[in-house]
Amino acid sequence: MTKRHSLKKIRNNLDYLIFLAIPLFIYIVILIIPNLKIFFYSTIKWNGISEKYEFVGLKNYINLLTQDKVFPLAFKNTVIYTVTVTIMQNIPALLLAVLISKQSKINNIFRTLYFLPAIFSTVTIGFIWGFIYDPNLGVLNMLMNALGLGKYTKVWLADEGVVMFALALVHIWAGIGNGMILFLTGLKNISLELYECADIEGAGGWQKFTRITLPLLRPATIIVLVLTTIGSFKAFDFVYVMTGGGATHSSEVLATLLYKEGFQYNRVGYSAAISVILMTVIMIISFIELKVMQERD
Amino acid sequence: MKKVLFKIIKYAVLILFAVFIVYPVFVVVMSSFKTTAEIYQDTFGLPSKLNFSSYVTAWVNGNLSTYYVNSVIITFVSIFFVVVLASFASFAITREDCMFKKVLYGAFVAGISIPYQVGILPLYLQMSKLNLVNNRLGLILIYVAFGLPFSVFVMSGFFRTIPKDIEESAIIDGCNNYQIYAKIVVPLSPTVITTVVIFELVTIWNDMFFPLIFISSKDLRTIPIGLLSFKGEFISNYPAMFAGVVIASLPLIIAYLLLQKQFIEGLTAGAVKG
Repeated sequence: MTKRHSLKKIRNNLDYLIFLAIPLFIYIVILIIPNLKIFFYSTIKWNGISEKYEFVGLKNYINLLTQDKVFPLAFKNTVIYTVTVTIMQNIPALLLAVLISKQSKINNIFRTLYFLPAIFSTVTIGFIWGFIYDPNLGVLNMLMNALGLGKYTKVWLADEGVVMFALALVHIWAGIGNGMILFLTGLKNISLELYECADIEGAGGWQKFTRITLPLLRPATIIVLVLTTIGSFKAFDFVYVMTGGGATHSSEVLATLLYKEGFQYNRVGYSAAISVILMTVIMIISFIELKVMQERD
Repeated sequence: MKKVLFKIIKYAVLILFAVFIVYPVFVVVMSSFKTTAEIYQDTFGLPSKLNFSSYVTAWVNGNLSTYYVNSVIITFVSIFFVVVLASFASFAITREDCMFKKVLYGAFVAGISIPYQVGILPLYLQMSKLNLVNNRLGLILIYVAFGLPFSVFVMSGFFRTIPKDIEESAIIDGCNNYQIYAKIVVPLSPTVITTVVIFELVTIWNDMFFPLIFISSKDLRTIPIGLLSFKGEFISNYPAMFAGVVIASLPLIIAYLLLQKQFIEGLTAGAVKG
Protein backbone atom coordinates (compact mmCIF):
# COMPACT_ATOMS: atom_id res chain seq x y z
CA MET A 1 0.00 0.00 0.00
CA THR A 2 2.65 2.55 1.07
CA LYS A 3 4.83 1.54 -1.83
CA ARG A 4 2.03 2.12 -4.29
CA HIS A 5 1.27 5.32 -2.46
CA SER A 6 4.80 6.69 -2.80
CA LEU A 7 4.95 5.55 -6.41
CA LYS A 8 1.85 7.60 -7.05
CA LYS A 9 3.41 10.56 -5.27
CA ILE A 10 6.46 10.36 -7.51
CA ARG A 11 4.29 10.13 -10.61
CA ASN A 12 2.24 13.11 -9.48
CA ASN A 13 5.35 15.13 -8.75
CA LEU A 14 6.66 14.45 -12.22
CA ASP A 15 3.44 15.99 -13.51
CA TYR A 16 3.88 18.98 -11.21
CA LEU A 17 7.42 19.42 -12.46
CA ILE A 18 6.06 19.71 -15.98
CA PHE A 19 3.56 22.32 -14.82
CA LEU A 20 6.26 24.25 -12.97
CA ALA A 21 9.15 24.00 -15.40
CA ILE A 22 8.46 26.97 -17.69
CA PRO A 23 7.13 29.50 -15.17
CA LEU A 24 9.87 28.68 -12.70
CA PHE A 25 12.58 28.95 -15.36
CA ILE A 26 11.39 32.35 -16.62
CA TYR A 27 10.96 33.62 -13.08
CA ILE A 28 14.43 32.55 -11.96
CA VAL A 29 16.24 33.83 -15.05
CA ILE A 30 14.49 37.21 -15.27
CA LEU A 31 13.67 38.08 -11.69
CA ILE A 32 15.76 36.12 -9.22
CA ILE A 33 19.19 36.02 -10.85
CA PRO A 34 19.43 39.75 -11.73
CA ASN A 35 18.32 40.71 -8.23
CA LEU A 36 21.01 38.51 -6.70
CA LYS A 37 23.64 39.79 -9.14
CA ILE A 38 23.37 43.37 -7.91
CA PHE A 39 25.10 42.40 -4.67
CA PHE A 40 28.12 41.21 -6.63
CA TYR A 41 27.97 44.12 -9.10
CA SER A 42 27.98 46.58 -6.24
CA THR A 43 31.49 45.45 -5.32
CA ILE A 44 33.08 45.96 -8.74
CA LYS A 45 34.11 48.78 -11.01
CA TRP A 46 32.86 48.12 -14.53
CA ASN A 47 31.47 50.02 -17.51
CA GLY A 48 29.18 47.17 -18.54
CA ILE A 49 30.77 46.83 -21.98
CA SER A 50 34.39 45.73 -21.66
CA GLU A 51 35.43 42.20 -20.78
CA LYS A 52 37.39 43.32 -17.76
CA TYR A 53 36.19 44.59 -14.45
CA GLU A 54 37.94 45.47 -11.24
CA PHE A 55 36.99 44.25 -7.79
CA VAL A 56 36.79 47.21 -5.43
CA GLY A 57 35.08 45.80 -2.34
CA LEU A 58 32.99 48.36 -0.50
CA LYS A 59 34.52 51.33 -2.30
CA ASN A 60 31.34 52.09 -4.27
CA TYR A 61 29.38 52.37 -1.05
CA ILE A 62 32.05 54.47 0.64
CA ASN A 63 32.21 56.84 -2.32
CA LEU A 64 28.45 57.18 -2.41
CA LEU A 65 28.23 57.98 1.28
CA THR A 66 31.25 60.19 1.67
CA GLN A 67 32.23 61.78 -1.65
CA ASP A 68 29.28 61.81 -4.01
CA LYS A 69 27.48 65.15 -4.21
CA VAL A 70 24.29 63.90 -5.86
CA PHE A 71 23.57 60.80 -3.78
CA PRO A 72 22.83 62.64 -0.50
CA LEU A 73 20.62 65.06 -2.41
CA ALA A 74 18.75 62.21 -4.11
CA PHE A 75 18.36 60.47 -0.77
CA LYS A 76 17.02 63.62 0.87
CA ASN A 77 14.62 64.23 -2.04
CA THR A 78 13.39 60.66 -1.86
CA VAL A 79 12.71 61.01 1.87
CA ILE A 80 10.86 64.33 1.38
CA TYR A 81 8.79 62.77 -1.39
CA THR A 82 8.00 59.64 0.64
CA VAL A 83 7.02 61.47 3.81
CA THR A 84 4.86 63.96 1.89
CA VAL A 85 3.07 61.26 -0.08
CA THR A 86 2.56 58.96 2.89
CA ILE A 87 0.98 61.65 5.05
CA MET A 88 -0.84 63.73 2.47
CA GLN A 89 -2.26 60.79 0.56
CA ASN A 90 -3.47 58.66 3.42
CA ILE A 91 -5.21 61.18 5.64
CA PRO A 92 -7.51 62.39 2.82
CA ALA A 93 -7.92 58.79 1.62
CA LEU A 94 -9.16 57.78 5.06
CA LEU A 95 -11.43 60.83 5.25
CA LEU A 96 -12.96 60.07 1.86
CA ALA A 97 -13.43 56.41 2.74
CA VAL A 98 -15.29 57.29 5.94
CA LEU A 99 -17.46 59.84 4.13
CA ILE A 100 -18.57 57.45 1.39
CA SER A 101 -18.59 54.19 3.32
CA LYS A 102 -22.39 53.80 3.13
CA GLN A 103 -23.64 51.94 0.07
CA SER A 104 -25.53 54.37 -2.15
CA LYS A 105 -25.70 55.43 -5.78
CA ILE A 106 -24.13 58.82 -5.19
CA ASN A 107 -21.30 57.36 -3.09
CA ASN A 108 -20.69 54.88 -5.83
CA ILE A 109 -20.25 57.72 -8.32
CA PHE A 110 -17.74 59.44 -6.03
CA ARG A 111 -15.86 56.19 -5.61
CA THR A 112 -15.66 55.71 -9.37
CA LEU A 113 -14.34 59.25 -9.86
CA TYR A 114 -11.72 59.11 -7.11
CA PHE A 115 -10.37 55.84 -8.43
CA LEU A 116 -10.18 57.01 -12.05
CA PRO A 117 -6.47 58.08 -12.09
CA ALA A 118 -5.45 54.50 -11.22
CA ILE A 119 -6.11 53.43 -14.80
CA PHE A 120 -3.93 56.13 -16.42
CA SER A 121 -0.32 55.53 -17.38
CA THR A 122 2.31 57.50 -15.53
CA VAL A 123 3.22 59.18 -18.83
CA THR A 124 -0.37 60.37 -19.27
CA ILE A 125 -0.46 61.64 -15.70
CA GLY A 126 2.89 63.34 -16.17
CA PHE A 127 1.58 65.14 -19.28
CA ILE A 128 -1.62 66.21 -17.55
CA TRP A 129 0.21 67.67 -14.57
CA GLY A 130 3.01 69.10 -16.65
CA PHE A 131 0.32 71.23 -18.27
CA ILE A 132 -1.24 72.19 -14.93
CA TYR A 133 2.19 73.30 -13.68
CA ASP A 134 3.21 75.06 -16.91
CA PRO A 135 4.54 78.45 -15.78
CA ASN A 136 2.88 80.40 -18.62
CA LEU A 137 -0.15 78.39 -19.71
CA GLY A 138 -0.68 76.32 -16.62
CA VAL A 139 -4.01 76.27 -14.89
CA LEU A 140 -2.39 76.48 -11.45
CA ASN A 141 -0.63 79.81 -11.94
CA MET A 142 -3.66 81.23 -13.75
CA LEU A 143 -5.94 80.17 -10.95
CA MET A 144 -3.62 81.74 -8.40
CA ASN A 145 -3.50 84.96 -10.38
CA ALA A 146 -7.27 85.02 -10.58
CA LEU A 147 -7.50 84.55 -6.81
CA GLY A 148 -5.09 87.41 -6.16
CA LEU A 149 -2.27 85.09 -5.14
CA GLY A 150 -0.16 86.20 -8.11
CA LYS A 151 2.96 86.82 -6.07
CA TYR A 152 3.08 83.17 -5.01
CA THR A 153 3.07 81.78 -8.55
CA LYS A 154 6.12 79.72 -9.41
CA VAL A 155 7.89 77.75 -12.07
CA TRP A 156 6.71 74.74 -10.10
CA LEU A 157 8.86 72.07 -11.68
CA ALA A 158 12.08 74.08 -11.79
CA ASP A 159 11.96 75.66 -8.35
CA GLU A 160 14.31 73.83 -5.99
CA GLY A 161 12.20 74.58 -2.95
CA VAL A 162 8.90 73.22 -4.23
CA VAL A 163 9.63 70.73 -7.00
CA MET A 164 9.57 67.65 -4.75
CA PHE A 165 6.24 68.71 -3.28
CA ALA A 166 4.85 69.45 -6.75
CA LEU A 167 5.85 65.94 -7.84
CA ALA A 168 4.49 64.40 -4.63
CA LEU A 169 1.13 66.04 -5.31
CA VAL A 170 0.99 64.22 -8.67
CA HIS A 171 1.72 60.92 -6.93
CA ILE A 172 -1.03 61.68 -4.40
CA TRP A 173 -3.51 62.57 -7.15
CA ALA A 174 -2.81 59.25 -8.83
CA GLY A 175 -2.84 57.10 -5.70
CA ILE A 176 -5.52 58.52 -3.44
CA GLY A 177 -8.28 56.34 -4.91
CA ASN A 178 -6.28 53.21 -4.24
CA GLY A 179 -5.75 54.09 -0.59
CA MET A 180 -9.42 55.01 -0.26
CA ILE A 181 -10.56 51.62 -1.57
CA LEU A 182 -8.27 49.76 0.83
CA PHE A 183 -9.67 51.78 3.74
CA LEU A 184 -13.21 51.13 2.47
CA THR A 185 -12.56 47.39 2.49
CA GLY A 186 -11.36 47.72 6.08
CA LEU A 187 -14.44 49.72 7.05
CA LYS A 188 -16.73 47.08 5.59
CA ASN A 189 -15.32 44.56 8.06
CA ILE A 190 -16.31 46.63 11.09
CA SER A 191 -19.62 45.39 12.47
CA LEU A 192 -22.40 48.00 12.55
CA GLU A 193 -23.52 46.73 15.96
CA LEU A 194 -20.49 48.36 17.56
CA TYR A 195 -21.66 51.75 16.34
CA GLU A 196 -25.20 51.02 17.53
CA CYS A 197 -23.92 50.15 21.00
CA ALA A 198 -21.89 53.36 21.03
CA ASP A 199 -25.02 55.28 20.05
CA ILE A 200 -26.94 53.78 22.95
CA GLU A 201 -24.16 54.80 25.33
CA GLY A 202 -24.32 58.30 23.90
CA ALA A 203 -20.94 58.46 22.15
CA GLY A 204 -20.42 61.33 19.70
CA GLY A 205 -19.22 61.05 16.10
CA TRP A 206 -15.61 61.89 16.93
CA GLN A 207 -15.54 59.44 19.81
CA LYS A 208 -16.92 56.71 17.59
CA PHE A 209 -14.23 57.49 15.03
CA THR A 210 -11.30 57.41 17.47
CA ARG A 211 -12.55 54.57 19.69
CA ILE A 212 -14.06 52.21 17.13
CA THR A 213 -13.13 53.07 13.55
CA LEU A 214 -9.42 53.83 13.93
CA PRO A 215 -8.46 50.87 16.15
CA LEU A 216 -10.40 48.41 14.04
CA LEU A 217 -8.91 49.83 10.86
CA ARG A 218 -5.41 48.88 11.99
CA PRO A 219 -4.92 45.99 9.51
CA ALA A 220 -6.01 48.16 6.57
CA THR A 221 -3.82 51.00 7.83
CA ILE A 222 -0.76 48.75 7.97
CA ILE A 223 -1.28 47.65 4.38
CA VAL A 224 -1.86 51.18 3.13
CA LEU A 225 1.15 52.61 4.97
CA VAL A 226 3.51 49.88 3.80
CA LEU A 227 2.28 50.24 0.22
CA THR A 228 2.55 54.02 0.06
CA THR A 229 5.97 54.24 1.67
CA ILE A 230 7.39 51.53 -0.58
CA GLY A 231 5.64 52.92 -3.65
CA SER A 232 6.92 56.44 -3.11
CA PHE A 233 10.40 55.47 -1.94
CA LYS A 234 11.08 53.62 -5.20
CA ALA A 235 9.33 56.29 -7.32
CA PHE A 236 10.75 56.71 -10.78
CA ASP A 237 8.08 57.41 -13.39
CA PHE A 238 6.65 60.81 -12.47
CA VAL A 239 10.09 62.23 -11.76
CA TYR A 240 11.49 60.87 -15.02
CA VAL A 241 8.55 62.08 -17.13
CA MET A 242 8.12 65.52 -15.58
CA THR A 243 11.58 66.75 -14.63
CA GLY A 244 14.04 64.00 -15.51
CA GLY A 245 15.56 64.62 -12.08
CA GLY A 246 16.46 68.21 -12.98
CA ALA A 247 17.01 71.05 -13.01
CA THR A 248 20.61 69.97 -12.29
CA HIS A 249 19.66 67.14 -9.96
CA SER A 250 17.36 69.30 -7.81
CA SER A 251 14.59 66.70 -8.15
CA GLU A 252 16.82 63.63 -8.39
CA VAL A 253 15.56 60.58 -6.47
CA LEU A 254 17.28 57.27 -5.83
CA ALA A 255 15.53 55.42 -8.66
CA THR A 256 16.35 58.06 -11.30
CA LEU A 257 19.92 58.26 -10.03
CA LEU A 258 20.48 54.51 -10.26
CA TYR A 259 19.03 54.60 -13.78
CA LYS A 260 21.37 57.41 -14.83
CA GLU A 261 24.45 55.87 -13.24
CA GLY A 262 23.74 52.56 -14.93
CA PHE A 263 22.44 53.54 -18.35
CA GLN A 264 23.84 57.01 -19.03
CA TYR A 265 27.14 57.21 -17.15
CA ASN A 266 27.88 53.47 -17.53
CA ARG A 267 28.97 53.00 -13.94
CA VAL A 268 27.62 49.54 -13.23
CA GLY A 269 29.07 49.11 -9.74
CA TYR A 270 27.89 52.48 -8.60
CA SER A 271 24.39 51.93 -9.92
CA ALA A 272 24.21 48.51 -8.27
CA ALA A 273 25.33 49.95 -4.94
CA ILE A 274 22.45 52.44 -5.11
CA SER A 275 20.11 49.53 -5.91
CA VAL A 276 21.27 47.63 -2.86
CA ILE A 277 20.81 50.70 -0.65
CA LEU A 278 17.34 51.33 -2.10
CA MET A 279 16.26 47.75 -1.50
CA THR A 280 17.72 47.70 2.03
CA VAL A 281 15.95 50.90 3.04
CA ILE A 282 12.65 49.64 1.65
CA MET A 283 12.97 46.42 3.63
CA ILE A 284 13.86 48.27 6.82
CA ILE A 285 10.92 50.67 6.46
CA SER A 286 8.36 47.98 5.86
CA PHE A 287 9.78 45.87 8.70
CA ILE A 288 9.57 48.78 11.14
CA GLU A 289 6.07 49.71 10.03
CA LEU A 290 4.83 46.17 10.50
CA LYS A 291 6.50 45.87 13.93
CA VAL A 292 5.27 49.21 15.24
CA MET A 293 1.71 48.67 14.08
CA GLN A 294 1.61 45.17 15.57
CA GLU A 295 3.09 46.19 18.91
CA ARG A 296 0.50 48.86 19.44
CA ASP A 297 -2.14 46.17 19.51
CA MET B 1 -29.75 71.57 12.29
CA LYS B 2 -26.36 70.13 13.18
CA LYS B 3 -27.07 67.17 10.94
CA VAL B 4 -27.88 69.38 7.96
CA LEU B 5 -24.71 71.36 8.48
CA PHE B 6 -22.68 68.18 8.64
CA LYS B 7 -24.26 66.99 5.40
CA ILE B 8 -23.44 70.26 3.65
CA ILE B 9 -19.81 70.11 4.76
CA LYS B 10 -19.58 66.46 3.80
CA TYR B 11 -20.81 67.02 0.26
CA ALA B 12 -18.68 70.14 -0.12
CA VAL B 13 -15.59 68.07 0.74
CA LEU B 14 -16.61 65.22 -1.57
CA ILE B 15 -17.33 67.54 -4.49
CA LEU B 16 -14.14 69.52 -3.96
CA PHE B 17 -12.13 66.30 -4.12
CA ALA B 18 -14.02 65.15 -7.18
CA VAL B 19 -13.11 68.44 -8.89
CA PHE B 20 -9.47 68.02 -7.85
CA ILE B 21 -9.43 64.57 -9.47
CA VAL B 22 -11.52 65.23 -12.57
CA TYR B 23 -10.67 68.80 -13.52
CA PRO B 24 -7.07 68.12 -14.68
CA VAL B 25 -8.40 65.35 -16.93
CA PHE B 26 -11.16 67.62 -18.22
CA VAL B 27 -8.70 70.40 -19.09
CA VAL B 28 -6.55 67.99 -21.07
CA VAL B 29 -9.47 66.49 -22.99
CA MET B 30 -10.79 69.97 -23.82
CA SER B 31 -7.35 71.14 -24.90
CA SER B 32 -7.01 68.25 -27.32
CA PHE B 33 -9.88 69.74 -29.35
CA LYS B 34 -8.40 73.22 -29.44
CA THR B 35 -5.91 74.75 -31.82
CA THR B 36 -2.54 75.76 -30.39
CA ALA B 37 -3.54 79.41 -30.74
CA GLU B 38 -6.71 78.82 -28.74
CA ILE B 39 -4.72 77.27 -25.90
CA TYR B 40 -2.45 80.27 -25.70
CA GLN B 41 -5.36 82.71 -25.83
CA ASP B 42 -7.71 80.99 -23.44
CA THR B 43 -6.50 78.03 -21.40
CA PHE B 44 -9.62 77.82 -19.23
CA GLY B 45 -12.25 78.15 -21.96
CA LEU B 46 -14.01 75.51 -23.98
CA PRO B 47 -12.86 74.92 -27.55
CA SER B 48 -14.69 77.06 -30.12
CA LYS B 49 -15.57 73.91 -32.05
CA LEU B 50 -14.70 70.22 -31.83
CA ASN B 51 -11.53 70.13 -33.86
CA PHE B 52 -10.20 66.63 -34.54
CA SER B 53 -7.14 67.67 -36.52
CA SER B 54 -4.81 67.10 -33.55
CA TYR B 55 -6.04 63.53 -33.36
CA VAL B 56 -5.00 62.99 -36.96
CA THR B 57 -1.64 64.60 -36.22
CA ALA B 58 -1.05 62.34 -33.24
CA TRP B 59 -2.24 59.18 -34.99
CA VAL B 60 -0.47 59.70 -38.32
CA ASN B 61 2.45 62.12 -37.88
CA GLY B 62 3.02 61.08 -34.31
CA ASN B 63 3.19 57.42 -35.34
CA LEU B 64 0.68 56.48 -32.67
CA SER B 65 -0.88 53.91 -35.01
CA THR B 66 2.35 51.89 -34.95
CA TYR B 67 2.71 52.24 -31.17
CA TYR B 68 -0.87 51.06 -30.80
CA VAL B 69 -0.26 47.85 -32.71
CA ASN B 70 2.86 47.19 -30.63
CA SER B 71 1.06 47.80 -27.36
CA VAL B 72 -1.86 45.57 -28.33
CA ILE B 73 0.42 42.69 -29.36
CA ILE B 74 2.73 42.94 -26.35
CA THR B 75 -0.05 43.44 -23.82
CA PHE B 76 -2.28 40.61 -24.98
CA VAL B 77 0.43 38.04 -25.60
CA SER B 78 1.96 38.82 -22.20
CA ILE B 79 -1.38 38.56 -20.41
CA PHE B 80 -2.10 35.24 -22.10
CA PHE B 81 1.17 33.74 -20.94
CA VAL B 82 0.92 35.23 -17.45
CA VAL B 83 -2.47 33.59 -16.99
CA VAL B 84 -1.42 30.24 -18.43
CA LEU B 85 1.93 29.97 -16.67
CA ALA B 86 0.73 31.39 -13.35
CA SER B 87 -2.17 28.93 -13.33
CA PHE B 88 0.23 26.05 -14.10
CA ALA B 89 2.50 27.03 -11.24
CA SER B 90 -0.38 27.71 -8.85
CA PHE B 91 -2.00 24.39 -9.70
CA ALA B 92 1.19 22.48 -8.93
CA ILE B 93 2.06 24.26 -5.68
CA THR B 94 -1.45 23.96 -4.26
CA ARG B 95 -1.60 20.16 -4.66
CA GLU B 96 -1.26 18.49 -1.32
CA ASP B 97 1.39 15.96 -2.31
CA CYS B 98 3.57 18.47 -4.18
CA MET B 99 7.12 18.38 -2.85
CA PHE B 100 8.66 21.70 -1.76
CA LYS B 101 5.29 23.41 -2.21
CA LYS B 102 5.91 25.87 0.63
CA VAL B 103 9.36 26.84 -0.60
CA LEU B 104 8.09 27.27 -4.15
CA TYR B 105 5.13 29.36 -3.05
CA GLY B 106 7.40 31.51 -0.89
CA ALA B 107 9.86 31.98 -3.74
CA PHE B 108 7.18 33.16 -6.17
CA VAL B 109 5.43 35.43 -3.70
CA ALA B 110 8.71 36.97 -2.51
CA GLY B 111 8.88 38.60 -5.94
CA ILE B 112 5.95 40.84 -5.03
CA SER B 113 8.10 42.95 -2.76
CA ILE B 114 11.07 43.35 -5.11
CA PRO B 115 10.95 46.81 -6.74
CA TYR B 116 11.41 46.33 -10.48
CA GLN B 117 14.01 49.10 -10.67
CA VAL B 118 16.45 47.32 -8.42
CA GLY B 119 17.73 44.52 -10.66
CA ILE B 120 17.28 46.39 -13.90
CA LEU B 121 20.94 46.77 -14.84
CA PRO B 122 21.96 43.11 -14.44
CA LEU B 123 18.73 42.19 -16.23
CA TYR B 124 19.59 44.49 -19.13
CA LEU B 125 23.12 43.11 -19.47
CA GLN B 126 21.80 39.57 -19.32
CA MET B 127 19.05 40.20 -21.89
CA SER B 128 21.49 41.85 -24.27
CA LYS B 129 23.73 38.77 -24.05
CA LEU B 130 20.71 36.68 -25.07
CA ASN B 131 19.94 39.09 -27.94
CA LEU B 132 16.59 39.93 -26.36
CA VAL B 133 17.07 43.68 -26.18
CA ASN B 134 15.05 45.85 -28.56
CA ASN B 135 12.91 42.86 -29.22
CA ARG B 136 9.20 42.17 -28.64
CA LEU B 137 9.81 38.68 -27.30
CA GLY B 138 12.26 40.03 -24.74
CA LEU B 139 9.75 42.55 -23.46
CA ILE B 140 7.02 39.90 -23.30
CA LEU B 141 9.26 37.55 -21.30
CA ILE B 142 9.95 40.35 -18.83
CA TYR B 143 6.26 41.14 -18.39
CA VAL B 144 5.48 37.45 -17.91
CA ALA B 145 8.19 37.05 -15.28
CA PHE B 146 7.20 40.20 -13.41
CA GLY B 147 3.53 39.24 -13.66
CA LEU B 148 4.04 35.85 -12.01
CA PRO B 149 4.48 36.77 -8.32
CA PHE B 150 1.18 38.61 -7.98
CA SER B 151 -0.72 36.20 -10.22
CA VAL B 152 0.57 33.11 -8.41
CA PHE B 153 -0.30 34.78 -5.11
CA VAL B 154 -3.90 35.49 -6.15
CA MET B 155 -4.48 32.27 -8.07
CA SER B 156 -3.04 29.86 -5.54
CA GLY B 157 -5.08 31.64 -2.89
CA PHE B 158 -8.17 30.82 -4.89
CA PHE B 159 -7.18 27.28 -5.90
CA ARG B 160 -6.81 26.37 -2.21
CA THR B 161 -10.49 27.16 -1.67
CA ILE B 162 -11.67 24.63 -4.25
CA PRO B 163 -13.27 21.76 -2.26
CA LYS B 164 -11.14 18.64 -2.22
CA ASP B 165 -14.19 16.34 -2.75
CA ILE B 166 -14.62 17.60 -6.31
CA GLU B 167 -11.06 16.63 -7.16
CA GLU B 168 -11.26 13.32 -5.31
CA SER B 169 -14.35 12.21 -7.16
CA ALA B 170 -12.65 13.19 -10.41
CA ILE B 171 -9.64 11.05 -9.50
CA ILE B 172 -11.97 8.12 -8.80
CA ASP B 173 -13.52 8.71 -12.22
CA GLY B 174 -10.02 8.23 -13.61
CA CYS B 175 -8.98 11.82 -14.25
CA ASN B 176 -5.24 12.47 -14.35
CA ASN B 177 -3.58 15.70 -13.16
CA TYR B 178 -3.85 17.38 -16.55
CA GLN B 179 -7.56 16.65 -16.72
CA ILE B 180 -8.10 17.94 -13.20
CA TYR B 181 -6.37 21.16 -14.20
CA ALA B 182 -8.24 21.60 -17.46
CA LYS B 183 -11.67 20.25 -16.57
CA ILE B 184 -12.08 21.23 -12.94
CA VAL B 185 -9.69 23.93 -11.71
CA VAL B 186 -9.71 26.26 -14.74
CA PRO B 187 -13.49 26.18 -15.32
CA LEU B 188 -14.04 27.13 -11.65
CA SER B 189 -11.70 30.13 -11.87
CA PRO B 190 -13.17 32.84 -14.12
CA THR B 191 -13.28 35.40 -11.26
CA VAL B 192 -9.67 35.03 -10.26
CA ILE B 193 -8.57 34.97 -13.91
CA THR B 194 -10.47 38.23 -14.45
CA THR B 195 -8.63 39.79 -11.52
CA VAL B 196 -5.28 38.79 -12.98
CA VAL B 197 -6.21 39.89 -16.52
CA ILE B 198 -7.39 43.33 -15.39
CA PHE B 199 -4.38 43.91 -13.18
CA GLU B 200 -1.96 42.88 -15.91
CA LEU B 201 -3.88 44.80 -18.58
CA VAL B 202 -3.56 48.08 -16.71
CA THR B 203 0.01 47.37 -15.62
CA ILE B 204 1.40 46.35 -19.01
CA TRP B 205 -0.63 48.72 -21.19
CA ASN B 206 0.53 51.66 -19.07
CA ASP B 207 4.10 50.59 -18.34
CA MET B 208 6.80 53.01 -19.45
CA PHE B 209 9.76 51.64 -17.48
CA PHE B 210 10.64 48.43 -19.31
CA PRO B 211 10.19 49.81 -22.86
CA LEU B 212 12.29 52.82 -21.83
CA ILE B 213 15.14 50.46 -20.96
CA PHE B 214 14.67 47.70 -23.50
CA ILE B 215 13.24 49.28 -26.66
CA SER B 216 15.39 51.59 -28.73
CA SER B 217 13.95 51.49 -32.25
CA LYS B 218 11.00 53.65 -33.10
CA ASP B 219 9.08 50.83 -34.81
CA LEU B 220 8.94 48.76 -31.63
CA ARG B 221 7.83 51.45 -29.19
CA THR B 222 4.72 50.89 -27.10
CA ILE B 223 2.22 53.70 -26.46
CA PRO B 224 3.59 55.16 -23.21
CA ILE B 225 7.12 55.40 -24.53
CA GLY B 226 5.83 56.66 -27.87
CA LEU B 227 3.86 59.35 -26.07
CA LEU B 228 6.98 60.31 -24.19
CA SER B 229 8.70 60.93 -27.51
CA PHE B 230 5.90 63.39 -28.38
CA LYS B 231 7.48 65.69 -25.82
CA GLY B 232 10.42 66.17 -28.15
CA GLU B 233 8.57 65.92 -31.45
CA PHE B 234 5.63 68.20 -30.68
CA ILE B 235 7.29 70.91 -28.63
CA SER B 236 4.59 73.34 -27.51
CA ASN B 237 2.02 71.57 -29.68
CA TYR B 238 -0.06 70.75 -26.65
CA PRO B 239 -3.21 69.75 -28.60
CA ALA B 240 -1.34 66.96 -30.40
CA MET B 241 0.23 65.72 -27.17
CA PHE B 242 -3.16 65.68 -25.48
CA ALA B 243 -4.90 64.01 -28.40
CA GLY B 244 -2.25 61.31 -27.99
CA VAL B 245 -3.02 61.07 -24.29
CA VAL B 246 -6.75 60.69 -24.98
CA ILE B 247 -6.23 58.03 -27.65
CA ALA B 248 -3.87 56.13 -25.35
CA SER B 249 -6.20 56.20 -22.36
CA LEU B 250 -9.56 55.73 -24.07
CA PRO B 251 -9.69 51.90 -24.18
CA LEU B 252 -9.02 51.60 -20.47
CA ILE B 253 -11.43 54.42 -19.58
CA ILE B 254 -14.24 52.69 -21.47
CA ALA B 255 -13.39 49.31 -19.96
CA TYR B 256 -13.23 50.89 -16.50
CA LEU B 257 -16.63 52.52 -16.81
CA LEU B 258 -18.19 49.26 -18.03
CA LEU B 259 -16.53 46.99 -15.47
CA GLN B 260 -15.97 49.29 -12.50
CA LYS B 261 -16.39 46.64 -9.85
CA GLN B 262 -13.97 44.20 -11.47
CA PHE B 263 -11.44 46.96 -12.16
CA ILE B 264 -11.45 48.30 -8.62
CA GLU B 265 -11.23 44.78 -7.20
CA GLY B 266 -8.50 43.72 -9.61
CA LEU B 267 -6.40 46.81 -9.11
CA THR B 268 -6.61 46.92 -5.34
CA ALA B 269 -5.96 43.19 -5.06
CA GLY B 270 -2.95 44.17 -7.10
CA ALA B 271 -2.12 46.99 -4.72
CA VAL B 272 -0.39 44.37 -2.65
CA LYS B 273 2.25 44.66 -5.31
CA GLY B 274 2.61 48.37 -4.70
